[in-house]
Amino acid sequence: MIKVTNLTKKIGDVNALNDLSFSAQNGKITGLLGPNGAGKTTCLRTVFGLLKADKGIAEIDGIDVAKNPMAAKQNLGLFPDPCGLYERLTPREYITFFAQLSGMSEVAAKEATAKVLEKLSMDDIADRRCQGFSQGQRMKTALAQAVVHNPSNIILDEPTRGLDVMSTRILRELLLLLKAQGHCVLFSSHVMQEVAALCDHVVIMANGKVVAEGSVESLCERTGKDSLEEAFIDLIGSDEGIAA
Amino acid sequence: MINLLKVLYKKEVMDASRDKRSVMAGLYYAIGAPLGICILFTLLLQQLASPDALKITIENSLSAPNLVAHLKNNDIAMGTDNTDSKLKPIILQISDDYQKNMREGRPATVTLIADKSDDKLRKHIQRVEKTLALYNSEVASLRLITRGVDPQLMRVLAVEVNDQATPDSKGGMFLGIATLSMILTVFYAAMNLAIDTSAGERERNSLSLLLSHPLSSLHIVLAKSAAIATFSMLGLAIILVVSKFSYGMVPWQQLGFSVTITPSFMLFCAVVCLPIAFMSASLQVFVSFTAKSFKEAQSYVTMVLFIPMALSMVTTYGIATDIVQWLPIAAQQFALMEFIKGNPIPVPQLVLSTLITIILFGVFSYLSSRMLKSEKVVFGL
Amino acid sequence: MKIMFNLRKSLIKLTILPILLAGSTAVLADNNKKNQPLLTPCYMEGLADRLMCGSISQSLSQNPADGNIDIHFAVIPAIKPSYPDEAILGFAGGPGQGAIDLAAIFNRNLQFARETRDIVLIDQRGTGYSNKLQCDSDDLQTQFAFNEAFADLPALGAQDTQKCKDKLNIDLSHFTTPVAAKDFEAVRKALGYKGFHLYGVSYGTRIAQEYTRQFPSSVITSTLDGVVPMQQSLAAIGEAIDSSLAALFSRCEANAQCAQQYPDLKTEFTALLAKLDAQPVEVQVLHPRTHETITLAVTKTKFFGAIRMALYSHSRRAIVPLVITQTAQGNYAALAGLMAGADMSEMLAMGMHNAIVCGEDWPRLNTQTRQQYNKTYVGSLMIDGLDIMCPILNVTAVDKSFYQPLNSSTPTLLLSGERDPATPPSWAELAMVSMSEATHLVSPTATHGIGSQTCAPKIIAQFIDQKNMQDIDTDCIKDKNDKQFFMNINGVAPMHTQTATLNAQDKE
Repeated sequence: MIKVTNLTKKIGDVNALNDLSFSAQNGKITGLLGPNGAGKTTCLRTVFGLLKADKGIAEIDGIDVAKNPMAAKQNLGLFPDPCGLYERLTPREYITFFAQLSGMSEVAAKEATAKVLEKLSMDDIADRRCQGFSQGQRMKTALAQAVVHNPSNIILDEPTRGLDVMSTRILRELLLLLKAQGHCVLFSSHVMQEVAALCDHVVIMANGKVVAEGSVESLCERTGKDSLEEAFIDLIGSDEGIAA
Repeated sequence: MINLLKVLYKKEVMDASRDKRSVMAGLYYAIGAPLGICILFTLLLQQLASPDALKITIENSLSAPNLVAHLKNNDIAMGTDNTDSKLKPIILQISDDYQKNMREGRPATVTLIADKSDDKLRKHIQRVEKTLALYNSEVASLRLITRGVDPQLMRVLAVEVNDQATPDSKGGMFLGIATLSMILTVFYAAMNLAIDTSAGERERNSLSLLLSHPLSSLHIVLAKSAAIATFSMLGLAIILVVSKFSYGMVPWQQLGFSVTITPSFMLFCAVVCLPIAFMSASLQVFVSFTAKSFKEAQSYVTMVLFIPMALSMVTTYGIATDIVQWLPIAAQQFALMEFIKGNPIPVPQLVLSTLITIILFGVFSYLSSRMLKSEKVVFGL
Repeated sequence: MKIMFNLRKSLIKLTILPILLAGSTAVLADNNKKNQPLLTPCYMEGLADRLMCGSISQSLSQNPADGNIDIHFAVIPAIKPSYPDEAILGFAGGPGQGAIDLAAIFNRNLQFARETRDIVLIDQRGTGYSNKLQCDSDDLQTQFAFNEAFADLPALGAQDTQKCKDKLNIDLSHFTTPVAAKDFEAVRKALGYKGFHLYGVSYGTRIAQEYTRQFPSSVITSTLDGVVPMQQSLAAIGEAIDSSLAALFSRCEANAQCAQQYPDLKTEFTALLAKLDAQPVEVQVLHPRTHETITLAVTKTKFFGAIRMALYSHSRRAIVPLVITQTAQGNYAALAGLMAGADMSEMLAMGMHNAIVCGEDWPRLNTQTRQQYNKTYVGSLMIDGLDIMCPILNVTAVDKSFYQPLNSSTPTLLLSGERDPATPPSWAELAMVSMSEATHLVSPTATHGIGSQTCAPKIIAQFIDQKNMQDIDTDCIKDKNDKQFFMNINGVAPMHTQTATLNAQDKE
């Protein structure tokens, strides 16, 4: 479970986060939806402890990230934006490395890596160096890294950018599988279809604040619109920064 | 904890070892520096060794045939052909009243005309002066003998010099440069790797991912330093081996000294340089993180490395004050030079400077790990 | 992955090194002390470089009751010891000179050879620091005043010899060349060299040949400079002196200036000798160092002796015509000056010198050689002296086989100077009759010991390096190195100043 309470963060003169509170539950896929510059990435980075909030608390499974980062991050999978690949390592080496950093033994890490590579149909690129990978191959590698150690909480920052149809499907299946296994999945996106198709719970953000949250249906209902996109525009009051 | 360090270190070394260009840049230095020094000194040797046959212009030579013959016996010939490369721009002018003065027992004037600021010429000028002085004392001695006086009377003092140098220690200046190149290897061999693994990692966004994992920033810094130090030591090992063989081929003995890189020196050098390698690695990581971008890091690191270079230089050129001799790098290099010369090693200086080096390693590592907690540094803001 | 593992292992090793290093230096220090005779740094006159000196104890004779003597040696370390198993062994002349004291000269003559090899100098038993056998000698003032013509020379000589024998109180038979050669081999073993390159000068060539004869496998190459053949007695030196002097006279005659300044020099010299022989002159001169007025008895022996010693050096040869003329004119200052520098007795260990000449050169004299050597002035003086001295000293004669020419296949370089007043080129030719790998180089103008006068040091170094004389350019040995004669007391400038006609007439 991931929970943020009253997060406030100023970057320069901008209130990147402005008293932000929401939570993502286990066994559910939570979507963080917002226009560009709404503070999605800042929010997520605060959850993994890279940024420190001026005020408020970010918790993972009830552990305060700021106070006890090592314990809080133990059960966290991370898909950052940008991916942060090591160009000179192969996906297999890369994924194994991060699995070990998340506390797995070398043997267990190798096994888990093999499994996740298979699951994501990456065997063809598993032993090539990341240098020269396509955006899709990069995303997959980053994704595999995020889930290799089977974390109970998974945070994905814009996971579908650059993925082709097939890969998007794989991603979607994977997230649904994780959800079925009872994991807490939190991802940010500005792609309405993805969010609409996947999320059990949607948090709409603008200017560092939660504008609205709830299931896709409840949001449509609340605004009286037919689609999430319509509802979103209605909620944030403009169509700025929306991708179709 | 140790396990984490191991995992991080392994990854750093693997990543760096695949960065062929950076690795090779360091190794080129390690291989090239001694070879370059060898070529340089071989050329210098040729210049220093005054060629056997020196030719000078002697004006009015007919007035002093005996002096001309004396010069000739010492391989200083009278040249007439201006195109001859052995004919140096040195003119010995024999005065018109040379014979008269010689006969009357007055000093007979000879004038040596040459440009003493010309470095290439200086050696030759000195040789001519020495040969003239020899002639002076030879004729003066005979003048005394023919007057019934023992020419030994002119030697008031018999100055005996007991030079405590050994052939190994006489190459002091050169040894300074040789050890300088070794110490600098520790700093430069892995410089590109150090920047790549810190500023480069940040620029490629993998740093933030790394930091999002359950490990402390100190782990990351230590692993990176260890990996960089590994490559520094690899560079050092290479320069030692290359030095051993290449210096062996330069005919130093013609200059009256020898340079021998013994296995025990190589071992000593490795031990002395290990803490320096760690300190250098942590310093470069620290500076790279301080910079905002990869390029900025490159210029900062290059600038910062002037400090150890300066410390090393003052030792090389023997201008270190008593205090400087206790400082890191300077003291270690001094110890290396003394070792190679076969002199006793200045243990207190070496121990203190090594301690300071280790402390500096700790300080830089701590500062870097502190910096990695700052979002400004992590995101290069 | 492999690379990584190796790196890790080496990192671990590096951390162990400090302990190993401390351990290994201690071991090294120990080893050094055990293996070699105790070598201590030392310095010799005229040479700033640090040498390593030491000694070994050798039994004086076959009989243990005679006790031991210390044989001292010095090592001039190679600049770059490329051949640590080899060294150059320098033998001093005399006989009676100590090799160690001559370190500066050996270092100069062997400067190029030293670039890669140590030079070992061993004081032959009875010389230098190895139980020097020194007899008392008169001071300069007594020597100057001594008038042989009025003295009973045989009685005086016998008295001096007996005095010296009593003072030394040792059987001189243990100091001959064949005995001494064994000390050199013992030092080689003690220092751990596999072989020596020999470099002997003058008498040193005799012991170098004897060493080669006794220990051929210890000799890699041999350089003999101013060669004394095994077949030749030192008493044959008279002929060499006379021909060296003759060369000087003819050179002066051939030179227009000299011939003009010193006409009939040879005649003048012969006349002066005859005059002094008949009637020595006693004069007052100033002491060459103290400037006190002292007596000089100008005798034939002293005059000839002073001229003879001057023949060794080119610079002194330059004043010989002047000294002869001045002496003939009754001006003895120049002679006194020449004599002051000609006193060799301080430099030579006369006890050892006498052991050699009485054990090796006197016994082999026979009627024929006596007759031959007696033809020269110095030869006859020498035979007279040996006949007085040797019966008293009673040195056991060396075995007849000692006089056989050295039969050797060792690469050997023989060096001679055409104007050598001691060991002329013909002696070297005699020495090499049974040497299969010998090369003889002659410098046309050089005197005794051409290693100090010519480009020989370079040739010696090349010879030692390649162990034969093949393809070594030896042309430079022919370069003239003599000097113009003094035309007056101030130097070589002639009295007449027609410079144009004066140049380049110095032809032989």
